[in-house]
Amino acid sequence: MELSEDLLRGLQRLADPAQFNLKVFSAVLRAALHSLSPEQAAHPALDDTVFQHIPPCHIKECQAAATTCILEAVRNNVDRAALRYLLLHNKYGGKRVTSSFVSSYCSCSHSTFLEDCKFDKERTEHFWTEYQKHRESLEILLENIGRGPQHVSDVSWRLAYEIKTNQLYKTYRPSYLVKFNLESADTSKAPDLSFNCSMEQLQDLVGKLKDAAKSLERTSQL
Amino acid sequence: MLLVLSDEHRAHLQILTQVESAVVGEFGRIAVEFLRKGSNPKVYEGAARKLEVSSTTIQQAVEGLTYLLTESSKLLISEIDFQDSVLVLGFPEDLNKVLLQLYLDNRKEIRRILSELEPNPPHYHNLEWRLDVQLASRSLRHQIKPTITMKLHLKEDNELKTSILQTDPATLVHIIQELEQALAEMKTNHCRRIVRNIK
Amino acid sequence: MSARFRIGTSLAQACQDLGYTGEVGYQTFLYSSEPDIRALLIFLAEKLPRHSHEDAHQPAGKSAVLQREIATKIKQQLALPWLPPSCRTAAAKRSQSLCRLHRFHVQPLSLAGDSSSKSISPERKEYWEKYLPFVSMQLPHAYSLAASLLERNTSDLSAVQEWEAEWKSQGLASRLSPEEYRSRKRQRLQKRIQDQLRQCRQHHAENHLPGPSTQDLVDMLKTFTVEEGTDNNKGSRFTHAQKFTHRQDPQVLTEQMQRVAENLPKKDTQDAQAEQEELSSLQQQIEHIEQDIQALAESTKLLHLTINKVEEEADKLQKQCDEKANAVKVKKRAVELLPDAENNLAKLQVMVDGSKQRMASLVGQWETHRVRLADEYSEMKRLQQEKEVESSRWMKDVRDLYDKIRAAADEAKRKEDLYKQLVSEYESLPKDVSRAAYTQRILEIVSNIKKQKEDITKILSDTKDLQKEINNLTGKVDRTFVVTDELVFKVGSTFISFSGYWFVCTLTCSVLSPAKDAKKDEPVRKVYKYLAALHENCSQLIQTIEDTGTILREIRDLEEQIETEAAKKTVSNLQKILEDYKAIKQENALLLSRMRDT
Repeated sequence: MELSEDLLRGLQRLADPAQFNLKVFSAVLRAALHSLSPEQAAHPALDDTVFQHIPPCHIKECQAAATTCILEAVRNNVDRAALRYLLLHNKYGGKRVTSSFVSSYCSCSHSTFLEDCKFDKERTEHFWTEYQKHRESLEILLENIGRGPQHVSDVSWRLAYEIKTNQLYKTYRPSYLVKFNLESADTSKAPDLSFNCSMEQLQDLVGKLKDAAKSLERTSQL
Repeated sequence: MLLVLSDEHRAHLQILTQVESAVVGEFGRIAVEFLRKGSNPKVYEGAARKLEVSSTTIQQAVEGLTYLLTESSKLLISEIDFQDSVLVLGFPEDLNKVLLQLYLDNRKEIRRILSELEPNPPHYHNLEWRLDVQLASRSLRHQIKPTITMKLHLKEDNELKTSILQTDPATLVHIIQELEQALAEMKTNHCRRIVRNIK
Repeated sequence: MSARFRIGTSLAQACQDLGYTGEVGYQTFLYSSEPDIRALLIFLAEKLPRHSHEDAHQPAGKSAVLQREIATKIKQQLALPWLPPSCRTAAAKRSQSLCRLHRFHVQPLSLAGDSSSKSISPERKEYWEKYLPFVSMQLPHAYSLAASLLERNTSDLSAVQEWEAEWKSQGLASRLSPEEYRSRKRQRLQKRIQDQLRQCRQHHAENHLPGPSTQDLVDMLKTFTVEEGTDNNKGSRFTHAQKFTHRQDPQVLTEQMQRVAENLPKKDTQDAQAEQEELSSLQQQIEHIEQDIQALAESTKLLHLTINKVEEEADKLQKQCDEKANAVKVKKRAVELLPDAENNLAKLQVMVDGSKQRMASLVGQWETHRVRLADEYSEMKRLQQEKEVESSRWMKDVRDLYDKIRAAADEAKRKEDLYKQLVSEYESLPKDVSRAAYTQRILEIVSNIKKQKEDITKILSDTKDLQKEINNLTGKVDRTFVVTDELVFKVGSTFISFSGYWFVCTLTCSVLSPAKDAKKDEPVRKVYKYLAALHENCSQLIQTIEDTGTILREIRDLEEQIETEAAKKTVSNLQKILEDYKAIKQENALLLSRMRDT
């Protein structure tokens, strides 16, 4: 897990106890976490009274940094030790050292970033507990981003007995209508997939699906 | 159930009484061929030259024969009914037998050809499946998500359509259960009684 | 059969090539005996490359872990009951509906930067302070917010990495500061784009005579440029017109209002009439005034124009005037000088000469300066070259250092990973395996070995004792014999007188010292004879016993040999080999006959 310099600076600022006391810190953290919850209504106002003495641009910066940090942590499934390491030291990992080495070699303007911006233990703990609380929902959030084939969520069927058509009398055969219910964002669209099949065809279909289920079974027993 | 043949139809078929039974067999062959591949005027002309009659007569005869066969196949009439229906034509006994044989031989195929004329909504054709496990995505690097991806081939008016679907293990099991139940439904007493009684 | 034989032989050959010293042939594989195969397999197992074995083990472990995880996940999902979509709980929703309905949709975000940095303009700072909305407010829902934030971070990181790579590969070598390098690069790029465009255009112009469509395009472009050129002039007219219509607007409005007013029901016609008249008169006045204003504006403009014109004219005249004044000045001077022409000419000549001389001296001075400067220049150049060499050396050092740093960082990362892996492995190992049991067993084995060693030493000492005893006994026997012999000899010497000289030769014994006169009398001789016989028999007996011992040992050896040979099943093997031989022969014959047939 890596963060860009801007974000690291934001975290650094957030870790500074002179500017953000624990109360403000947790307020920023909460705001960051809530902004990611799918229920947008639950937005706590960030211009609370607790923030009065802090320049708003700092709060904005820190909130963006904290939000991204949380997202990256979920995306990379960062464990506690790694996150603690990151937050306590907030140093650049292997590659970042070289990069800031180069940049400091060139211009010396980034050298300040080499200084540790330490989250103290209390903040780290706080961060971790809050993170754990929301982790599941955040994972679901990130999991739901992406594309895939249409998902079959249910099936329904109808059995009919065919007696005659205008071209052919005395057909006398069973005929099934199968409908796959597909999942979609809005239920109004209903892009369900339905098709007819004879008994033999349905048997074929079921046999193939059973094959699939069997292979699942086998895979689960490895 | 008897076939009711119109006068015009009978007139068209009259030529069959004037030729040998082998030629009648040939006529039958042409009629079946007509059902399979459509009309072929060249054949009519050839036959007309041989028999020294007009090609229209031949065509009428073939078409009459074809109609006779399709109607009887459509209704799936029994042997006796067919014989009784043909009796009206006043053909000799052996000609009737040839016609009956023709009917019995080709009934199945004609029914198949007729069944192609049915209204044809999407029909199941084939299913391919694959077991996938999603391990990572752009927004989540560590995940394990087993899915079954299916390619469903449907046939509609002789055109194959495919749709890609996917589902999860639990739903797959559910789908199998549901469809097995659908299959089992045909074996219930209720359904059997219906099948027995509709004849 | 022959195929089997061939495979067996090739296997044996391969084993021998690997350096197997034991006996190995095709029969080893076809009719194997346990010990042979065991020895061979041990040898081969030792030969297996150990390193690759370890390597192969590692990823297998990882993939196995993954496999196991997948298996448990599937098992877990299969165990879950299916729920209709509308009543799924969160957990069921996660596994049973993918609801992957949100694209990874990235939108640009505006984030507050480092406000403490000095290079930020105050306007920007103000924007950040007052107007910039929070990140969470910038996008409509959490999905796009998450995607955008993640993507922003990634793109920032990758931009840094890319720049780093480029800087390392090309930037350092160019010996420019990063800013310079960037601007240089931008220039280069622009130039290249321009060149490309120009080339394209030329290419186009050469290859295609401009067709109708391109001609049209060119024309259109031309008109555009023309319009642009005249835009300044035209613009004013346009703005005038616009102003004009705007000024008319109130008129239109009042007219409309009038119309509306007329439509209103006339409550008080008188009043309305009066009002109407007043209004119209006022209207007229306004119109008059407006017309006046307009006329005045026109005249003002006209006057402005004339003023401009007049000013221009005045300028022109002024210029002409100046020129003329100058001309007059020159002419006046010439006229003043004219009376004393000779004198003045000579003066002029002198002045010209003087300036020539000054010129020459200046040239000389310049030359000296130039030489000095050229020297300085070459000196500078040399210095610069030196510096360049030095700087390139520095550069190399820097790059080396850079590489080292990167290597070290990579190494550190690798080691960290390894450490993590090892820790997890260590944790996954079962903790309750006690070493005590192993040590105890080892100790037991050691003590057993000790006991056995003691036994062996005991047996050895026993054997030694026995040997000593045997040696003692043989020595005793020898000595006894010698003593007895002497005794007999002494007894014999007392009867010297009787003994006959002839007796000497009858007994020859290597142990006896030559005693020619010893055996003279009969009993003594007899005794001696018996003694010699006894000794001989005894030694024979001992010899026999020893022989028996060796034979027994040999027998035992042979038995052992027989046993090992029997284990090898040589006879049956031989029989089998013979059978094989016959089979091959048959096959060969068959093949031959078949060949002959065909």
